[in-house]
Amino acid sequence: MDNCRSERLSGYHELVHYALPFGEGPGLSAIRDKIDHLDLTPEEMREVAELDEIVIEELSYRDWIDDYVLRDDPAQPLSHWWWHLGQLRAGTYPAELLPKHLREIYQQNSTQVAEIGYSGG
Amino acid sequence: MDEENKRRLAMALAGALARTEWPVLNISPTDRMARETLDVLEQYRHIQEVAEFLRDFYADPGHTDSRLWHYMKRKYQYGVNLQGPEQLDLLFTQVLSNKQSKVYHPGVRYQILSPDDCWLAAIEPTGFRVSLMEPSTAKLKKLGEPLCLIQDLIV
Repeated sequence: MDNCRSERLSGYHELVHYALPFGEGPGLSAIRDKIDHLDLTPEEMREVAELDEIVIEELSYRDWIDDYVLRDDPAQPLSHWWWHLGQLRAGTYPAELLPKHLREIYQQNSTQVAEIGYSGG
Repeated sequence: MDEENKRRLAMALAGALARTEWPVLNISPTDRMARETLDVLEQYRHIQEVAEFLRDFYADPGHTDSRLWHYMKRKYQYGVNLQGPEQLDLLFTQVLSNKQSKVYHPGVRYQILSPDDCWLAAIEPTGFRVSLMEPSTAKLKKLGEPLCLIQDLIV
């Protein structure tokens, strides 16, 4: 049903487009982790990069995100940012561990959030 | 599940079945994801329902009907064969009213999974319809054990 460019990414695509904008995200970390183990084509890599960027933006700007989405898994490596969405939401995730394209969005958003005094929620 | 939680769930389901209200979205036209959808919709502006949606959207993007937004994305961005937004309501109602649908409560909202695992409906505890998603296998695994089946609420 979902005609995103890669079928292998359809689950992640669906979550980013139909769950996260509504503060939901069942299995988001697990789905993203599964993608990390795939041998992606260059086109799929571009698509994942775009979806990742949306996730980082949504975590910064969305008014309300359900707590279960933001429950971090401390057993997972910190470098795998998708297991640490709570820290990303709170702005306490170490920016240097993010890929460059995500780091720029994260830092830019963190600055803007700080300037307008947004406290999350 | 204790009786009080059962009562709350039953109230939420009854509300979502009776009111068929979707939330109002505050969408920024410059938002990356919104832009992607709007750019696609511009290609279909010659279709009346798209032109009307875009007209209303740009007049007040802060008050966008979530049901229409879902419909436009599914139909025009993802090529789903939908005859009208009411089809989404029908799907939602089918998921919520099927006795074999499974209910999950991962956070604040309830999520109801159709018996064929094809559709996952999210509703507010207040009975508002939130979103209708197509769950992937990974998402299904993450849902864990259901709270109950719809039929468990029928006395």
